Amino acid sequence: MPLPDLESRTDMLFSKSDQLLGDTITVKPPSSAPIALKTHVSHRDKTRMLDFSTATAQDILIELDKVLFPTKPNSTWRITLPRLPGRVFAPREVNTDDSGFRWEFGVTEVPGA
Amino acid sequence: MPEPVAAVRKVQAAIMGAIAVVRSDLTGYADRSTAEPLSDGEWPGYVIRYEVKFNLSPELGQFFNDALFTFEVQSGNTAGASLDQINQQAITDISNALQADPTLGGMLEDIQPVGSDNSQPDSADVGSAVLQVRATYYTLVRNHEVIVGHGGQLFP
Repeated sequence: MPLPDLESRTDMLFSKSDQLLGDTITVKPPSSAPIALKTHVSHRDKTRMLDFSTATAQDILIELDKVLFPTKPNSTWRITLPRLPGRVFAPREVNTDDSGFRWEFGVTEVPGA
Repeated sequence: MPEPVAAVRKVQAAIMGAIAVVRSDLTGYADRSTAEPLSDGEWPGYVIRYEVKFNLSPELGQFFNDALFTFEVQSGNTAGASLDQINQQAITDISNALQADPTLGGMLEDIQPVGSDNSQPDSADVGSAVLQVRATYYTLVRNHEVIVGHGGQLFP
């Protein structure tokens, strides 16, 4: 019996871990209704170095499964996070992650959205 | 007896006071190091720093002080970030507040904005911009506390 390899199971591992370990978020592509799903979200803050002062602001990192979202997210998408009620975010710096199965991106807050 | 206060600190306090009259919502932070970032609840605000050059005045009776005050204004999480509208208005209000009485109550020879610019680097999440202002004033010779203002008025 051939040994199973990790590559053939990577996609399933990601989707399973999202279901079991993910945070619930809402993703709204411009031409679609809002989609609630579980995925990996880092809610961290980060200190930004400016000219001679500094500021602490969100440095949220979100991963989305390419199977669920074949189209690359862009700044017209809207994302809400239950842990940050009343705030709406848009993707920025959208990259493919190491595995190639997922979009990985930071967000910019959309004031007044 | 009051604590001695360096002349430049008196000028800084007068600058921040003049700004607070015009923009009470714009909080000023002196003595704020880069290890103490501004954050939610502190925007819009500015961090102020200064550098001073001293020279003996031509008549040798006073020290001439040439101070460069640098403001970095932060608007917080705005749509445009960088030198956005909120920061541009803050810079304009600060400049106007200081020009309204360029002697700051008779203390200074003059105060003039030098220029403003985007912060380098800036951030996508925090709008920030820089304003520099040049203030000139006199102190007693070999004394860095007592300012000699207009008409010889002393600011001890």
